[in-house]
Amino acid sequence: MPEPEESGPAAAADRPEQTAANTDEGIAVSGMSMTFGKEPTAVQALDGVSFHVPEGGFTALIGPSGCGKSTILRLLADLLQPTAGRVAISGQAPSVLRKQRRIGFVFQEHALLPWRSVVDNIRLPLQLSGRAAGRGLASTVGDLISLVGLEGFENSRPSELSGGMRQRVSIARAITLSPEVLLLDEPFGALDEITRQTLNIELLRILSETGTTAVLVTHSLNEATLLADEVIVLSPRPGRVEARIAVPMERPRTLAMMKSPEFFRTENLIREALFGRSPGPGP
Amino acid sequence: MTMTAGALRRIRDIGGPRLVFAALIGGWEAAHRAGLLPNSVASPAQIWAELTESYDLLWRHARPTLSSAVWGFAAAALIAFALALVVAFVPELNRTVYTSAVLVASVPLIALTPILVLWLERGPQVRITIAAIASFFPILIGCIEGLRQVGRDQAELFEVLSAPRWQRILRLQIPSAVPLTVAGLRAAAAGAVLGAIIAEWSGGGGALGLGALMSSALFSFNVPLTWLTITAAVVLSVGAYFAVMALTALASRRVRSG
Repeated sequence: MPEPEESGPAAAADRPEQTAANTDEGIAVSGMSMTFGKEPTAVQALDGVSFHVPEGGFTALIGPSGCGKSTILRLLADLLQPTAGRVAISGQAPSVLRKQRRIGFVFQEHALLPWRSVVDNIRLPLQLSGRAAGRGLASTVGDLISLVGLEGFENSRPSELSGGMRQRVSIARAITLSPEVLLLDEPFGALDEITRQTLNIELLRILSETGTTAVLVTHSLNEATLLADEVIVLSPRPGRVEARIAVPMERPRTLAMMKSPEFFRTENLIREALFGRSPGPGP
Repeated sequence: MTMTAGALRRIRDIGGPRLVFAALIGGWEAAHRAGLLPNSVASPAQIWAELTESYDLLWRHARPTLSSAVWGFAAAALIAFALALVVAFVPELNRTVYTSAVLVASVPLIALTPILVLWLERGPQVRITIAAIASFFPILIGCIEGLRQVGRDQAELFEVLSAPRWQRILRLQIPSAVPLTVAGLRAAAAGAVLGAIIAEWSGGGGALGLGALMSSALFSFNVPLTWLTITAAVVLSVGAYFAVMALTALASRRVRSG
């Protein structure tokens, strides 16, 4: 069983073909490859990706554009099927979890239904699962609205909300059915820095309350370091695991931790894994 | 005193089209009085005079046209909605339905009317059928294309939530289809009126209808009455467009609230 923690880029370079932990807990990805299309125009997006996210853990995927980060999320969500390798969530195939609606997904562009109010967007998973008429529905949706701090906007349409508020609705909708796994595809990528950091902290608070296992795709070193227990750095296409970097900061995380030496050290490790030992772009 | 930007905008938005319309009518009347137009063109004043004189006659003929257009439009909308839903459930049928609809839309209505008269006999049934055929295509295309207008993320969301196909159609595709369906319905409204008139013109609707009145006025060289019926046809078509616009605005709110 490989050790996912405390592995820097140098260590990872020595064993690029790490195998996933053979465990029934959390997310286990083993030798996963993905090729789109057929020869001669086939495009290999991923090549032998392996990692493990422990139950309740938070892993961030980071890498250059086109390295297959979003593809990994879609494979975990059973929206795509890998051409090779194995994915297991709580020891089961993603298709099983998807059919049981145990996967939550937050999209980059929030994917809210513009004709529905905040309440109705959050209620959607309940309606699709046939639980819309169930007892306690009102309190469930009401609790979620409180959880994401949108009291007073229950009947607003997405067009009447700011970008940050829309993503809060999107997060609330993703956790409506209390999923075991929350997959976040650059959810805060289009937001300004202040909103982004506020939502980062709120996301951590929500996840600490729900205990959900989370995988985040991001382009932000800052965000990855602040949120994750482990950051997986992917190589340019075809995506391979370049490095797995443990984030040695305690929880609960706060914005103040972004000034700590551990934060800078970890961020630098990620930067080095991404851009090599050369200084690369500034922070 | 300088005009504010708001007042200028109001003049442009509301006054502009009215001014253009008044200028057209005025220019038309002036050109007629100056003898610049052929005898086959009636002036606005002549059309107005004909309206005051033949109002009852015009209304007696406009009513069946309007009723045929409404029934034809409703039938076309129902069939188009049903077919579009079938295509949504069975996407493999998309090409077949599209091709058939193009074929139906390509049939010259003026030639189809006599065939329908032989088959269904002269009467409102022919007017309604031609009105339905004339308005069917834009509604169908609007519905089918509308049902396909679903964002990638939204489609993936329904997949992640393991939504059955009927839920996807009901809660995602149908509300997403509203804008294009409405556009198709609006485009088809005038077509239904013109379809009914074509059927009447070709003798498919019996002696009643704006088309029949237009035809008889033309062949008896009654230029003002011919132009009055033409004007009535335009007014009915424009009225149908705005009526559908108002109805669809109400219906869209309802569909999208589900």
